[in-house]
Amino acid sequence: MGLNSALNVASRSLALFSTGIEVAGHNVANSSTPGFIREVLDISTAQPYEKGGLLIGTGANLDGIRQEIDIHLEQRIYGSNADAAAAQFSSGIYQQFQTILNELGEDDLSTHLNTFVGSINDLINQPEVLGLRSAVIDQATTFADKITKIRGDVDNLRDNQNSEIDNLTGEANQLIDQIAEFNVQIVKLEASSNFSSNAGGLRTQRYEALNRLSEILPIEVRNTATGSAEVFSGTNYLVLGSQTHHLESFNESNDGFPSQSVRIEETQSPLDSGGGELNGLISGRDSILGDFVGQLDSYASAIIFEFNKIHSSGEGLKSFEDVTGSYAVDDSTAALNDAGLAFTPKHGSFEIKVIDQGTGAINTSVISIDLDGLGGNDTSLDDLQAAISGVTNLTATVEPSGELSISAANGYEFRFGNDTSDVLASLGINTFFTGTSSDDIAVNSIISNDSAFFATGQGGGDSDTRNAVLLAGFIDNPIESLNDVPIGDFYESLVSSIAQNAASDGALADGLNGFRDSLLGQRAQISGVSLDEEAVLILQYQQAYQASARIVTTIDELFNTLISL
Amino acid sequence: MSLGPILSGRLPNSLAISRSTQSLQSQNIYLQQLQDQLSTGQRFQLPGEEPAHAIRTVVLQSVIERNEQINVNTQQNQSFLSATDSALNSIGDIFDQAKGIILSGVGDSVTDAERDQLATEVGTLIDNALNTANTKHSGRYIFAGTDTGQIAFERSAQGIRYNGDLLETSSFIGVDSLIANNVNPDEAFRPFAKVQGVDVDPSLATSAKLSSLRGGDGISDLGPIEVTINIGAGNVTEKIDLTGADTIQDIITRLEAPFGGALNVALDAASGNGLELSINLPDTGTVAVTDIQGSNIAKSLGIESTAVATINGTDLNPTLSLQTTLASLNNGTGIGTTAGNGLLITQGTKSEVVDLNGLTTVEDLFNEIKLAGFDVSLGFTEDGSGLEISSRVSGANFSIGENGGNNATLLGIRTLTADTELDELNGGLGVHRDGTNSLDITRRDGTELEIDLSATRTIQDVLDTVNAIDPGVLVATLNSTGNGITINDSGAGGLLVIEPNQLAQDLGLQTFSETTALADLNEGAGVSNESPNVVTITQRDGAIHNLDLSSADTVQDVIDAINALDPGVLVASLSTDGTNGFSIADSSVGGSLIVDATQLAVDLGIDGTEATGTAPLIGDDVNAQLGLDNNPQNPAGIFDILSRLQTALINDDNAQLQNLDSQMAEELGRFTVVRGRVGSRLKLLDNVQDQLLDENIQLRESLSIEFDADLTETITNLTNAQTIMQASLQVTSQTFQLSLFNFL
Repeated sequence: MGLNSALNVASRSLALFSTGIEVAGHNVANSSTPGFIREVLDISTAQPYEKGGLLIGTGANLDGIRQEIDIHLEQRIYGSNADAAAAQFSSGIYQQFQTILNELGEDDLSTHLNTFVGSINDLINQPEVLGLRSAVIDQATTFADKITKIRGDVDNLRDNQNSEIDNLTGEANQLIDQIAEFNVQIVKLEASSNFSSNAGGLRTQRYEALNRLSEILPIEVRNTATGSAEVFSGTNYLVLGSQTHHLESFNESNDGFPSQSVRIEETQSPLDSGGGELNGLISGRDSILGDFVGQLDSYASAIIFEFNKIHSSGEGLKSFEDVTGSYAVDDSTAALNDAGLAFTPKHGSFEIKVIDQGTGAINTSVISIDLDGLGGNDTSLDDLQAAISGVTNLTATVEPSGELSISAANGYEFRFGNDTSDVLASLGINTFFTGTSSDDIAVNSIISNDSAFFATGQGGGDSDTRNAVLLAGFIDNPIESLNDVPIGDFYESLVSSIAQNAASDGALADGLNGFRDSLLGQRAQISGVSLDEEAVLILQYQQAYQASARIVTTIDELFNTLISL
Repeated sequence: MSLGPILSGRLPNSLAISRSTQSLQSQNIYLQQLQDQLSTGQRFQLPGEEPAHAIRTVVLQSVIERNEQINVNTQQNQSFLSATDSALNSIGDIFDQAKGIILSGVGDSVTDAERDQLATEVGTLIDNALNTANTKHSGRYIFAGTDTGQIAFERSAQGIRYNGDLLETSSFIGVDSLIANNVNPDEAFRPFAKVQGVDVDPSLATSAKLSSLRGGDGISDLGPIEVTINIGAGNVTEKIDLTGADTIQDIITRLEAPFGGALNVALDAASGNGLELSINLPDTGTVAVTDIQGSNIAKSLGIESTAVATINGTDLNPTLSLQTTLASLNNGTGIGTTAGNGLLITQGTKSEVVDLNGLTTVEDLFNEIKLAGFDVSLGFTEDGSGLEISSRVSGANFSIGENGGNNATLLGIRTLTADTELDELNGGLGVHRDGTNSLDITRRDGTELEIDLSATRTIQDVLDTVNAIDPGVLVATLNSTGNGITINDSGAGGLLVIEPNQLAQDLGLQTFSETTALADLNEGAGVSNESPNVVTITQRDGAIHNLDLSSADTVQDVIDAINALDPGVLVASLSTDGTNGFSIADSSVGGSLIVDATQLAVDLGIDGTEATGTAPLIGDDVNAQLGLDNNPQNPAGIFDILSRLQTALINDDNAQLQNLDSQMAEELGRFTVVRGRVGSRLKLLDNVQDQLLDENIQLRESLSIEFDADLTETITNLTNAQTIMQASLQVTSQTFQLSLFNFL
């Protein structure tokens, strides 16, 4: 072919090198685009032809533009994204949660407990100062409010997580749809190409979407030959070509707390548990906060029951003329330990003292609570009502809602004592706290309305503080329902396990983040744009272009020589 | 944030930028943390940042909070105990002054006027002591037990009444460590005259609490026991868990339950104080009860036994409770007939019969005594076996006697019984038995006896000695009403006369004479003092006299009053026929001498009309042969001693003054010990406070080490971090300026 062929080769080279500068320019332009994968020009030597026993080269071919990416590294990044995101979220929950507890500050629960017990001590020191009785009630109210406040804050946090779960589910579904859409476009664009990454910009966007999706839930990505990415989570596919499965969040009750959970909408199968923000949120909400609420409930109910057990056997400055229990039974004919009471009474007895207001004469009756399960005569609330009504000058009734009411005849009043059966505490009679758990603990309104009903004594004078001494000592009593640990120690160990878990979760999150960052570093090293490198390439293409142009000029001169012959 | 390793090969700008950003971020975070440490002074803000330090911090904070409370408690206790100490100090001074007064008042050389003066001084001392005992500190009567709102001691009609209780007010000075911040008034002032009843052995009831058994030791650590029965078909063994049983009835129910009616468990009918286990059928059946190895529950319940037909449990010795029935006392034999009987309780000048008829429980008894208006405190003896009835009044005698029956004795609370030791009589003075003081009696038949009581130890010994002289005729018994010894001679003749020597006086023995107090007549019930206190006498000549006896105290006073109505004509004297009563002779003429049957005349036995116109009116027997109650109970404290001292000075009672001198010395010795105890408690509180201070310093130091930011370290770190940051910023900006593009 001769000169014409050489001219052809040179002109193709010009196109090739200008494309090279274009690609480098594209890379430079995207050097700050997040997630951008640098592109490289794929060039090959063109097919030679034979002429007179000689194989003559035909220059270079532009094969395509390729994205520089390590697919296996991407898979590892997806996995580490899920792990790091889950750890990051649960560590974040711990942060917020510790802020709620504020255990290192002045307004924490253990300080309030100490202040409450301290106020009882103050009363023991000076029982004749009536203001100190009110102070105990105030401190108890503050303490109970603090418990319900913490519970409320934790519930709010759980609520926030529910909304966050809804948001993330929505975001994941959008990403799934985007990836499916990208798949269609990429396949279409690359259908006629020999190269697997011709649709570079779209692929970059799809990588970004996959990357974000892998933070939200654990995924596995398979790239097909046609250029589409198949996304799986566990055994379910999320994207298969243009087919998609979506996530849905749904409500389920977790220990009575409405909790959002996530599943695959089409198959109703549960979310794979391998990490990700969704799993981080769900497990943080259920195991960190849910467990804490469980523990806080144990704490609150132990305080209520143990304090009430002591309180109900004591006497205040005033006697009752009538009283209604704060806890109801479900079935007034069932044995009291099987009647649906939150706190269970046991076999034993209590004393009820009826006092003639005129003469001061006292009539003490012992009421037996038979709960030995023998003889088919276990005491029901109806039996108890009948037994109390059998006491001269007392009438007991079972309220329609299931509480027990006791009232004295005109001119009489009554007090309680020596309850070995815990039945008074179980029924909420002559008790200090009401409620059963951390969300409803409060000071009995009978006492908050009139502190004279605060049972500090055991039948002595106005300054009899024998019961108050027991009440103040309850903080150090081992409590059976808390595995024989005193109330203060229980809370301290709860806080300490939170601190340790927070620290270990934080360390875990740091570790996982570090691992992910190192993978991202590797990715950046492979796929990131180096301006210097691009500059070198540009120089290279520039010089090659100049050389090719020089060939064209040379051939042109040769043609002119020929023509001028 | 950590920076990963850089692989060999290319270094894209994006990586360099992200690494620089990360490093700047982490340096910024570190700077912020240092700044937080400086602004809060805390080494960490959340427990999770430094868990080990945080846990120690939380614990230390809690310990410090509790120690602060204990410090407040200690200061309060110190304040109360110091007030107590200074009050007791003043009481100590009063003891010393009283002792001086006794020394001045004792002896024959002191004149009545001087003693009266001393008595006035004692009155002032009593006032001083009252003021001190009623010390109010921080709004609290510190000596009123837990009844701190009402005045502790106050004067009543009977004497000085204690209004408080005997409880301590305690407060925490450490975990589980309580200290009383008052003295038990019973220790400081001994304001109670305690009648401590004897063991009244209540029988076992099915409702008896297990904690009340075995003299109050109770049966604790309940667990399983093994019961084996054999009703002809071999041994059937059941392991029965007694955990949670509260009463005897619970034990019965649980023991019977597994055997479906084959085993009977009941209260032991024979002894009344234990359990009885028997086999229903056949007669040859046996029952055995054994303890599981390592426990002794069956033994404690008194029912451990090898195989026998019937197990008769041992005495479970329940203690008394408010619900104990009176009928169950004395092993179920009760307290005797109550109808028409009851208790005769005397407190100072107040004497009342407490009717026990219709009462069921001990609590009913207590209510009845309270309703009778006595200033008493009611409860049980320390071991729970007997009743304890205490008079709250100092300066007033307190006694519980019979009112015809034996209720007081069977309740175990009679203050004078056959078992009372002679040494205890007369407020601990005992009786004189120096040989010359034999009991000298002139019997109605004129026989004179000198009864040697030198070998007697108890009241019963005295009764036995007298009763041995002429069995069935000369009879000595305890008074059927009230307390004291009655000697009755059923022989004929004149009056039984007991020589009023010291021994007779000490034994409270007296015969009817001019000096007999009207209050001792009618078996100690005295005579009516209801208005109008008048005896209406119509003389034979028709003259009518309304005799006012309201100021008469003795028999002689009555005789003098009648003799003054119509001197020489209307003549009263002791009965002329040997009975213990009055005679009234009227030498005017006309009809018959008539005394109207007013209650007072009936009580004096002089109501009625004379038999003929010539004989005197012989009064009825006024039952005045009664012995006096020589064992009244008194509080032993300062108020009682001072009251009796005042009375002794007014009455010029030398013997009593000497007696009081020794009692006062004894009481002062005891009182000094009480003061010493308060002092040692104050010392203890000082120690606690010192310890708290030391501990507080140590705790705060530890807390500071754990929690506080070390400012020097933080500031150094901050400076360092700033330098690094600055360097890093500079290097970053310079690095990014280098680019090949600059050379294009």
